[in-house]
Amino acid sequence: MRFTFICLAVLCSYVTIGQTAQCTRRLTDAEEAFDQGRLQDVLDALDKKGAAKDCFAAFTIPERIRAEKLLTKAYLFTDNPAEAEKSLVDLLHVDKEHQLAKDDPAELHHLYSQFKTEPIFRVGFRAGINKSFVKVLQNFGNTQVAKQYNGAGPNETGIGVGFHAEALVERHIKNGIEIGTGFQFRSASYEFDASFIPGQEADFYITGKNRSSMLRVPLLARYNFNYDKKTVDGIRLNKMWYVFAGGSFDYVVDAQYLNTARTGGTAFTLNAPKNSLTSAGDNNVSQVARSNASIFGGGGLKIRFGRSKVDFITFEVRYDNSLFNYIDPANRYANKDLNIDLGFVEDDLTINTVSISVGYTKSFYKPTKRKEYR
Amino acid sequence: MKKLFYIAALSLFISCQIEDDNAPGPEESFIKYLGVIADQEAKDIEPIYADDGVTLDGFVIFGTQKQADSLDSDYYIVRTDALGNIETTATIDPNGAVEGLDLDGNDQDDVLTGNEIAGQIEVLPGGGFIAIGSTSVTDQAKDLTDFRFISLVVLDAELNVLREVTAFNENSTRTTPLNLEGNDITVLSDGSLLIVGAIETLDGDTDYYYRKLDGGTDAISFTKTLGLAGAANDDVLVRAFETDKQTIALFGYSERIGNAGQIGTNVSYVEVNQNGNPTGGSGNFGIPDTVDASNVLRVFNDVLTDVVEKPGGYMAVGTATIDASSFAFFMDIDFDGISRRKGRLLSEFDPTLTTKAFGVSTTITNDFVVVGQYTNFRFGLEQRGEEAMFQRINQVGEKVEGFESNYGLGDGNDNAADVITLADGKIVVATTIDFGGGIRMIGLIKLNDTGELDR
Repeated sequence: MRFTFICLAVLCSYVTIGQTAQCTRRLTDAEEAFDQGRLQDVLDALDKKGAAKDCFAAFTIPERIRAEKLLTKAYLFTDNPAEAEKSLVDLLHVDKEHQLAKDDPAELHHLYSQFKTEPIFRVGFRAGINKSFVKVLQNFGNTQVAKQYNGAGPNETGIGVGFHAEALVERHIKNGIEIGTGFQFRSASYEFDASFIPGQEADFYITGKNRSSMLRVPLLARYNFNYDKKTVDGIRLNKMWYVFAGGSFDYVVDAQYLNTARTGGTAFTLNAPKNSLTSAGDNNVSQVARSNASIFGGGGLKIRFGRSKVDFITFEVRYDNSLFNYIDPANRYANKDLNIDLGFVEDDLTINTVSISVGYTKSFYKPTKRKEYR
Repeated sequence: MKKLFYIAALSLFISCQIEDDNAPGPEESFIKYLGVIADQEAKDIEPIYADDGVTLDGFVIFGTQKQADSLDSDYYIVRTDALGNIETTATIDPNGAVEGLDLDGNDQDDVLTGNEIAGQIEVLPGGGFIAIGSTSVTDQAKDLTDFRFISLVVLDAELNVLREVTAFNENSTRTTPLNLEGNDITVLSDGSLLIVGAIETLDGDTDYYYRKLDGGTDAISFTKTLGLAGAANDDVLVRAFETDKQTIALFGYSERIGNAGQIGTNVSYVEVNQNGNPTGGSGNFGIPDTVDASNVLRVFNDVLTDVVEKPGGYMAVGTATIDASSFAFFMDIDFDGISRRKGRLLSEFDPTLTTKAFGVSTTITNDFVVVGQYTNFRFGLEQRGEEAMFQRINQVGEKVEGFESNYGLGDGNDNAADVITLADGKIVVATTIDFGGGIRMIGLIKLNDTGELDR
């Protein structure tokens, strides 16, 4: 049984290899026929019926591209525009945004111009890390010393690092301008050092971290430099710099104090569940403003990726500027353990971040004839 | 298009904050901790007004402080702005030279240092302050144990000490050192100063003590004592007021037997003239005794801690103790020394909660805010040990419902020492907050008119 199987497998592979070689020869013969003006021979060889149909399935991608293009030209020159259009669409499905060569026939260029070859939309995924910058709007404190943030104080704290991930749907409008929207999940944190007594900051103080998890809905506009630019050889640029700006609606899903404790006197640590900001105090109120808005901007680099070079690897730097107070003043004192036992009161502040991201953008197509040519 | 994006991007780095016009002012909080890492205790708070007498300039808080490297506690005075931010502080350890005291008989004034016990502070007309308390000396070499004398300091508006004045019990000898304590100081209308306190007698009890000094020279106008003789009859003066009749109302407490039918320690009142002589007005007031289930008479011992003037008389507060329990009390006393209303201030949280009253102040609606301490606060599942207490009563001593609140760390020995009310109805309390580990800090708490932490 096993011997039979092996024989069959070997036989099949020979058949496959044989078929592939046969199809390749069929393609080269068709190209030679086109060069000799034997257009009907081209159509017979590549008409996607019978053996030709099997070959289209067996072709490698580059062979498929050659075949579809050849077929398109052949239909054009045999005055069969309907079939030429079908072949062109098939070509564009195989090779997104197929770039015609300068020496391709004018008729092919003309046909190509009648079709939408750019992506109908792109989906971008990005992830990275961020660092927060706290902007204090109003000081609130029960000590004589203003709070210090993100490592600025004399006592050891972190610098306020978080992470984020986003998915955007983007669409190119014209001339390199894109718009996009989607969702972002961002975890941002800031760390504080609150001393009680001037001159004795290292003896009696509170340190801790405020970490928030946000779901954000951004809306942005992006400008890509040299979006349609090509080299002298007609090849699109492999790299594209871009800048962008936009705004987002932000919703705080959760916020907590982590590693928050008082040093000096009898040490006190704020433990769960008393460390929650979104469910604080006896009435489980939120000490942070659940809804907020931001504006943001930044820049990045796209590098073409993939066989057709229509997808991108992206590297991006971005600054987010939160517009409104992160703290809900109405509930600033809702948590007795925080305000009294720990002795900490939040300032009115906004959390701004600088982030770096790496991402991948995939382009999606639906080649159709432009309206004016239908 | 490119330019537009550059401008948009750059604009992010310019302030883009949309600020709330209704946000409160900066550096506000319901509590401000004052001082250094030490064992501090608040005793008295007074408001400081500008020259117009209306604009609040800030507060002065008087208490004590003992730092880790100190041998004893000292007076600690803090001046703050109207938001409770420290402007200046003073730690005063009186120099210990007690003029005229010569217990060891070496013909030289004794130099004694000990623990300062804060009394009261007054804001002087024209600026400056005067603070009174006592110094308690324990010195084995001098055979002294808790030997007390009055220590008074006069300061300028910046809390620089201008002079120190001491007064001791002149009946003291080396073998029989006798105490003299100062509890309050009042600036009278003629500019003189009236000190009130208690003096230890050769009988083994204490009597009322009051001394009038010239405001400028400290020359003694008179020194008076009043009291019932006998070891079981301690009399202590706590507060003094000058009346519209130019007499002086003295308030204290006395432990006496069979006085006007009251036994135990009772609140007492004596009216004297400008020369310190009793005018005849006097009274003793006690929280009504109770009879327990075994038909045994239970007597409250009522110790006065603070008094405030009110229309038609005075509102006095203190702590009534019975067995191991204590309860804050109030007494409404008229100008003729007659008690109109009195009673215990039972807690709305739980009437069995034991409490103490330390201070009282009149509100802008002529109610009274009473502050003090829960000695063991518990409510539902909440157990928080000693907590600062805030209560409110109306003119007839009825509790204002919904005002009562507590404040303090879960584990600490916290209390509210004194209270004042502001023209806008806000209430400011001087508290002692215990962080444990030997750290107690003076805290300035602000409440709004309904007793909630001001925000």
